[in-house]
Amino acid sequence: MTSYNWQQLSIPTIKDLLTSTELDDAAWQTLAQDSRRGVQNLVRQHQKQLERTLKAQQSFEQRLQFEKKYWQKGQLVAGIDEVGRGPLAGPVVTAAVVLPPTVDILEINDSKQLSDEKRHQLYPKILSEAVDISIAVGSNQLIDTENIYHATELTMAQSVNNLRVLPQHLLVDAMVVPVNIPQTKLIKGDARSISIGAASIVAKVYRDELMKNYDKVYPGFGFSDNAGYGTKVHLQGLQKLGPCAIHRHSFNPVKQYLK
Amino acid sequence: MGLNYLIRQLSQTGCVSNQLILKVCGQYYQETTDYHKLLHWVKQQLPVAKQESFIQKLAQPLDMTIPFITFFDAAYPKKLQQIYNPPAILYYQGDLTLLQIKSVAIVGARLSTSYTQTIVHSLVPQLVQHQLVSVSGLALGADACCHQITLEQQGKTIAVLGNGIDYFYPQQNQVLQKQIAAKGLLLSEYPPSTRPKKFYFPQRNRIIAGLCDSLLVTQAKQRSGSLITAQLALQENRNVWAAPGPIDSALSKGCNQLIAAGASPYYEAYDLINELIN
Repeated sequence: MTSYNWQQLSIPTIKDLLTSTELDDAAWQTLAQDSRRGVQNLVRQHQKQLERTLKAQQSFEQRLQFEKKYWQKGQLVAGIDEVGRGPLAGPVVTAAVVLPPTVDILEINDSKQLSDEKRHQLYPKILSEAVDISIAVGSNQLIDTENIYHATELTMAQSVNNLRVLPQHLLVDAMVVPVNIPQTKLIKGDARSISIGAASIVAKVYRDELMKNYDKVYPGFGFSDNAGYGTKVHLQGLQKLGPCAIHRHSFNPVKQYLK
Repeated sequence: MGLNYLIRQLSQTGCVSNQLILKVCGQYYQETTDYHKLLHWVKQQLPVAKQESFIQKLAQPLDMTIPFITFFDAAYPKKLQQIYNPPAILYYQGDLTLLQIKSVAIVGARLSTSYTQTIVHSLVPQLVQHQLVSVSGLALGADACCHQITLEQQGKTIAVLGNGIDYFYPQQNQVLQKQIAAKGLLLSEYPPSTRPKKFYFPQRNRIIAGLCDSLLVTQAKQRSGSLITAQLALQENRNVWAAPGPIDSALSKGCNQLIAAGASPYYEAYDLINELIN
């Protein structure tokens, strides 16, 4: 690395240098000795940034604690999550995601804590890094005949069974998947495990896109905005048009509009 | 408390780079052997943001039963001492005496074909006959092939890992990793329970390049990890060999380029071994 005589450089020049190159710790130490206030501010900003990255890394490692136990033994772990248990319309979507032990997508978290934009950024990253991914869709008919809880279990099992690699362990968000693979049921799993978090993002993005397409087939319920949840627009649509083919008849208030 | 303990402890924190550990060793020999002063010095070198977590991690108990050697041990190979940024610490499992024997690193693509097997089969029995050691990185493809065939031939092999020694990665090589621990030598500069990370693998490659006397690349794409290893080996004055391949094979492009740039073309074991033992 080129070494600079920092004292001689103007603050705008230093700023430019900082955006174009990455300084090592020693260079930052020298900068920290600089008495100019502008430089001190730059140093403080850098420290804050470093702290944030460090926190993110530590939290990431923390959220890999369940996976690591199995990775260390050379086992594959799948994270399973579901999206769409609450809505009045559309399917329940489940995803099974098998991540490699080398995974380093620090932003993976519970899909509910991420913006739609962030989820869409992470989706292709997860797809390209994952060892395997499988998405399963449990239809509204399945939900009506089986009840939502059992339909979710069946759909989760399907997403696991459709994986091309066989994981030796499952991490599941607050459910037990009816498959013959050892599993850990984690309360608030999507925020505690990277694999479950990744599954929640994949399922969420997939289902949101699906509902956007259903909005074109069944307009008038605002599916692209509400994803089938009972918003005002959705309820007004129900009142005006009655239930469409993807409404869950067993759910209230859909029931009331059945002839 | 001795220098080895200090190195082991700094390595375990995961906050201190290898280069900084080496600098602390310099401090130990030139300035002070006082344990607390040295720790304080390290802390001063770290960015403020890292200092707190460094102190926290220092306080955690240290499992000294896990075998390791440091730069300063007699078992640490001379040729590795001479490379740029030599690992200050190496955790190991298996037969350390293998480090004192002349060795050939065999590396190549993870998605290598039967061509790699042909090449490895042509060399390894000869290596074993001359009681030389094979070195590789326990990745899929060429690496696994190198270790596997060496073991089949009752030879000795060293695997350098990009994760903690107690971690099984990749999953497909779990059995092989156990066999190497029992019959050969596993090495890693990362403390136990360290999960593999992508940027550890190029780091691991410098150790492979440093440990070997000669290096053979079987199949490699352009801009691949194997080429990084070959580049590092060239910088450290190792004999670099590459197996020539068809000009229309993406997996041989890296090898053909290496030859064009001056690496010796490998087409039979005799030349390589001859150069090594004479």
